[in-house]
Amino acid sequence: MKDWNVSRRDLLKTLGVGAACLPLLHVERAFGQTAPAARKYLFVVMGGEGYRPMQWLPQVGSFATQTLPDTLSPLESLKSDLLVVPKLTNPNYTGCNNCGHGAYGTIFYGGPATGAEYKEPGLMGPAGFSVDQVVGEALFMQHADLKAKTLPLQLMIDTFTSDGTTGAHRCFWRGAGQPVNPIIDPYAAYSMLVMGSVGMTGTGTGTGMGMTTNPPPNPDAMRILAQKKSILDYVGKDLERFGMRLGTDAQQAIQGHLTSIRDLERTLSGSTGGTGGMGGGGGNPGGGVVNIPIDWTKDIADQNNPACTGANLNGALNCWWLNTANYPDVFDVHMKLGVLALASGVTQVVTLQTVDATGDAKSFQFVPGVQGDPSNTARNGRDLHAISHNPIIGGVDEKQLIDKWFMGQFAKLITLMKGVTQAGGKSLLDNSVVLWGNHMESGDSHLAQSVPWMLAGSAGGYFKTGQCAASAGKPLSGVLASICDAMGVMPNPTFGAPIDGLT
Amino acid sequence: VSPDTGAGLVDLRRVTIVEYNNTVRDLLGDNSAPLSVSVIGGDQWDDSTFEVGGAIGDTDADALMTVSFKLATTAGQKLAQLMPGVPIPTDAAGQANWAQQFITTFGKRAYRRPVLPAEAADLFTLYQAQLAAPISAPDFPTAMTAVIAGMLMSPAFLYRWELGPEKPIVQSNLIRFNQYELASRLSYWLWASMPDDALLSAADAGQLATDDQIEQQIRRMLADPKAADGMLDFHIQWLKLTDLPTLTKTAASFTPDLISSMLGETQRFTMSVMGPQGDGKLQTLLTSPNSFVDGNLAKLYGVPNVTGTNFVPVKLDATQRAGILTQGSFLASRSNPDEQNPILVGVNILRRLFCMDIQKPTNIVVPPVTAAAPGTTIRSRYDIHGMNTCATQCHSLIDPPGFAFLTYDQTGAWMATDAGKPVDASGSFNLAGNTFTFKNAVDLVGELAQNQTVQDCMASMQLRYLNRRLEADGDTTSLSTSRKAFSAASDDVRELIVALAKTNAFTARLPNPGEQIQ
Repeated sequence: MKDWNVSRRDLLKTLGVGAACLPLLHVERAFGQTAPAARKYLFVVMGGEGYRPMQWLPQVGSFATQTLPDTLSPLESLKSDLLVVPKLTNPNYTGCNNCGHGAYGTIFYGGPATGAEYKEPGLMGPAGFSVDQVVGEALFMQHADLKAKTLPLQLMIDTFTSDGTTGAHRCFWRGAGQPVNPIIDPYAAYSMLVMGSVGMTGTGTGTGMGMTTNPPPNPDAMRILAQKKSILDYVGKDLERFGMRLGTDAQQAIQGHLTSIRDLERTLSGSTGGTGGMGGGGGNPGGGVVNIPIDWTKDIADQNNPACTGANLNGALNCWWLNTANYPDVFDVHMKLGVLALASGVTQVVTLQTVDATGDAKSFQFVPGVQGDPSNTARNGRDLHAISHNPIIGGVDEKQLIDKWFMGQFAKLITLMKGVTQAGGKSLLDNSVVLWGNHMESGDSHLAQSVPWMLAGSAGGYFKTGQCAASAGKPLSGVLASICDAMGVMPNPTFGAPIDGLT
Repeated sequence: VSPDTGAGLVDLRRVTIVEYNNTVRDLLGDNSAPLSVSVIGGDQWDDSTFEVGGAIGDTDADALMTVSFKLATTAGQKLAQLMPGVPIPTDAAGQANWAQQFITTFGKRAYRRPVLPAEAADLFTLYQAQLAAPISAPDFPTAMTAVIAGMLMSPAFLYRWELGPEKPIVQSNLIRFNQYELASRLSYWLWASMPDDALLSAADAGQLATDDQIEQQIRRMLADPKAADGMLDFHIQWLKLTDLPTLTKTAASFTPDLISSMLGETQRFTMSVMGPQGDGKLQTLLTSPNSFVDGNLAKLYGVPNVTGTNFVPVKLDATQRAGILTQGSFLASRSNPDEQNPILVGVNILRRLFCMDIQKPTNIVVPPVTAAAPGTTIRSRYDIHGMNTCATQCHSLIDPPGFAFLTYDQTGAWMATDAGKPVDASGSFNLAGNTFTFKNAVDLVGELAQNQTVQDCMASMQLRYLNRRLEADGDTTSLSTSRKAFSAASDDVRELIVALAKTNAFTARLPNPGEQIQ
């Protein structure tokens, strides 16, 4: 997002701090206030290419009496917070049973795919809201202090988009033809949600998710903020008028655009400049101090790198947050950002896409023991897709090593969320549910009707964690219904009924 | 205008990223090309049609606000240039009048049609809000910044729907595009940008009403330097060269400089064929060994005595190069990082030159191609398709045209041998009642250029680019008329464009489902 460069640099100057020490973020609670009813939070992570089933699948039943299989071993010490939901069916997915890739676009919708505009039969999108949008929309309506419905993040998905239709690299949707476009650059996400949408609005002496140093008042920034509000007021009226005579599809697109403008109005109206920027109203209700340092040095250094702002990102590897060699670091920053966004009360829903529908063009040579093929990382070489098809090379099960590495990331996320203390001594994880999704059982079989999902956190006691559920043969849409139920929002009709055994 | 013979749908669409950047350049004189896929969600595409701007979601709206405000801030500093000849008064009442005049004159260019009274009133209210608290704009340019940003955020600017909220012109079962819609249809088709003053004036005067008037405009526009933008946009999307700017290859010679040289060549070459100096023929586009090289490309193609960054016209070795498909831009776009990929080449030729609907197999697990090993040629590793009955059905069509290009490596350089053996680029395939037999790519493109299906497909591609959709039932007459004119003009694409513009495919559309037309 190169056009934020100036404001970011200005902000750094304003703060009078070097880039490397900027990252210290605080969420400070308002001590002495009566704690409000605990909010609930949803963090959806989209994985891909399934898991090697033999090394991943635990026995159905409590974890108290079993040691987790090798792939899940990074989660062993956290297993009381874990709920494995294996072998889910995806009955509304009409692709063949071993064509799991095609289910990517609709996996968090659970209903049938739509969209004649997409030519590839499998790689379609849904006609309605995916679960993150259902929950995000409802909570956004409920809580006036929220600044965003969701924080959508992605890990380098858009570096390889020529490999199919929109449904091959978008899995969160607001309706037919309306994918949620996730943010690829962590610093852009940070600017947008944490520092305030305009990047310069934080003034005054408020608390909330501000910086350790409050920026001094900036009359220009205040004026620009007010100008932007006035512009949005005009654009909103203009969109309403514009949409009057349009056909049904076009009206939907304009309605979606209008909703985005209204959301932005609300985001800006929260940035009054007197509360330390965005999050001033929300901030970890009744909770303690959150201190999750993020090192932005490399990201900031690349803000003006042309490789990061090309007209098309396919293959743009010369940029910190696009280079697959930095995948672990960018993953780490995205998870921290997501947790900060939840802890600060900016939003109650975060999504993170870690791979696209096919896993193409992602090399995992950073995982110890994975050789990959340095000379041919796109498509036909040993990228994640190729490794999934032929997991074992030279006697080493590379796919399982990668599966286990991902579970290590899951463990990091859970640990981060457990480290945030909220009202009544509960952790952020206690008040949350993390859905770690996938769209096929295993990358070599591509089974679309035996989907391995995992949950972490009980969402305030709703889910019964510490077990592997007897979910085999039950529809994954039922898990989406359970999540809505846990979050206290109305599910999509397409989700059907919650499934048994999770609570 | 031809009699009512049906038409297809033309949807509301957001301008593409390329169109947006061209449009702000022509509207504001701003060359910063501020939009890219790292700023907002990318354009949508599929394998058969052309790009359409994606829907605007929360993150896009925020990014567009940032971009619009920045563009408007720059524009605010040169207001006089945006409404030349009308001095900016220094008193408040005079400035308010100036603002009102600006809203209608500049507004007509921004919205590509006259600003409606209700829109003008709201924009003036926006201006007035800038003068009052809490904004209290310190000066006139600051106040006007918001007005300009408001216009840049407006759907009338962002979407290709110049009708706006007005009533459409209904003629029996069809909707006729009004004069301003026609002006924009011409400009986004031929320039990938907004109409110029001449087009808007013609629309004002109702002078886009007859075939002759439209033809006159097209000939004027094709001779304008902006036609190079339109030609480049069409050819880049037609041959799917969109990824080229950020591709990486294992060869050290494949640098960002070389990529930009490749795009420079394709732009100059297409304009040399389709521009006023060229013959406009599809045959020339597909077979001419004449091209333009700079130092980078001279090295790639083995042209002696050309160095530096200036492009010079050259005749390339006609045994190695013939037309756009043998240029670096296409060859590098259709290859793997480390070697040519005959499947990518073959599929692209079938889809984009024969208009075939080729889909990826979705009901089978496609095994990866065998890894390279000493002594094995690329062809031998792909020839494995011939031993698999399931794969043979598609690949007997896909592979041969791809194999024809095995004499080029992943950077587009000539490759005489593979794994120590002379490259076998020969082949044969049957398609659309014709048998194509060839020794190499130069042979093949010669046959393609003569083929009626390929020529007819170009008419379909122009229609798809114009309307951003596949051909519809209602296009049958439009297509057959323009294909006939194309043949009669010895496959001059410019005449195809003129002919297509005289059909309903250009001048009319069907009502959209749910559209209020009364």
